[in-house]
Amino acid sequence: MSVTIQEQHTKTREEIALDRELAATFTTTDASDRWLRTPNPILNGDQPVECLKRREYDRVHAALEAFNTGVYV
Amino acid sequence: MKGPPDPATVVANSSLIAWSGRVWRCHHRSRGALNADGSLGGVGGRFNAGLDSVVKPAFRALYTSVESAAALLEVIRHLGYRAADARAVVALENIAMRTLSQLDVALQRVFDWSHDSTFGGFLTSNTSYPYTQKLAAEASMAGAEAILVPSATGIDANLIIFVENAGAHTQIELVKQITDLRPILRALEEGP
Repeated sequence: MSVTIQEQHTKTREEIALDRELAATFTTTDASDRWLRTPNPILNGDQPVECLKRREYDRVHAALEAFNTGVYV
Repeated sequence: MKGPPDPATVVANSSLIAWSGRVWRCHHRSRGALNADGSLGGVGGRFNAGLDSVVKPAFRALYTSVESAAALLEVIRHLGYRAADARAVVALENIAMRTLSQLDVALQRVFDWSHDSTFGGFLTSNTSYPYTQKLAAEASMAGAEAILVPSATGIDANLIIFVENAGAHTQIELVKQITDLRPILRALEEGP
């Protein structure tokens, strides 16, 4: 996927799990890219892609779960 | 600019009422219609404190809307489309994995702030999370099962249910689910 986890290194277990979760959540890469680049109130205004760069996988997982369970922002 | 009213004062001056009706929520089809666990993630949603929120303690909320279109647009806001204008909805296949669930709700203790002008725009602002979470926390601590607030989409009201305050008489039942959202999305695209 274009913005998420690049293929330049061997993926960690957390990265693989998050890739799967993103694929299950969004039907297009455009949608997941937009979500990853959008400042997210659940992440205190951070973009999920910024959290990924800092390897804060738990935070991105939490934001995805909030989205998937229908939390309003 | 005048600030919002003090949350504790708002709650002290508000009356709890009974409320019943049907509401909608939109969630991933793999998640249960009554699953509120995701609201604890990060700083939480607009009207509940998550584990990372400055508002303590964290508490769960089930987010619902009086209108189905509002439930749908609340999801679309997550995808980066913040405009209340339904014509801003694009790439609608992006929410193909969603289900619209209708719930039959009967509650005994609800604060109705859906038409309260004293809040100004603070209940729907994108920058007032600490305030709206504090207000919700005060309501929850006062024993409210839910609050009725304006939807940030501009469409009618949202009913935010504090699931940990559910009592013996609280009724929340799944009525029906719509898994093919394409007709609704097409109608939103075309507009009135």
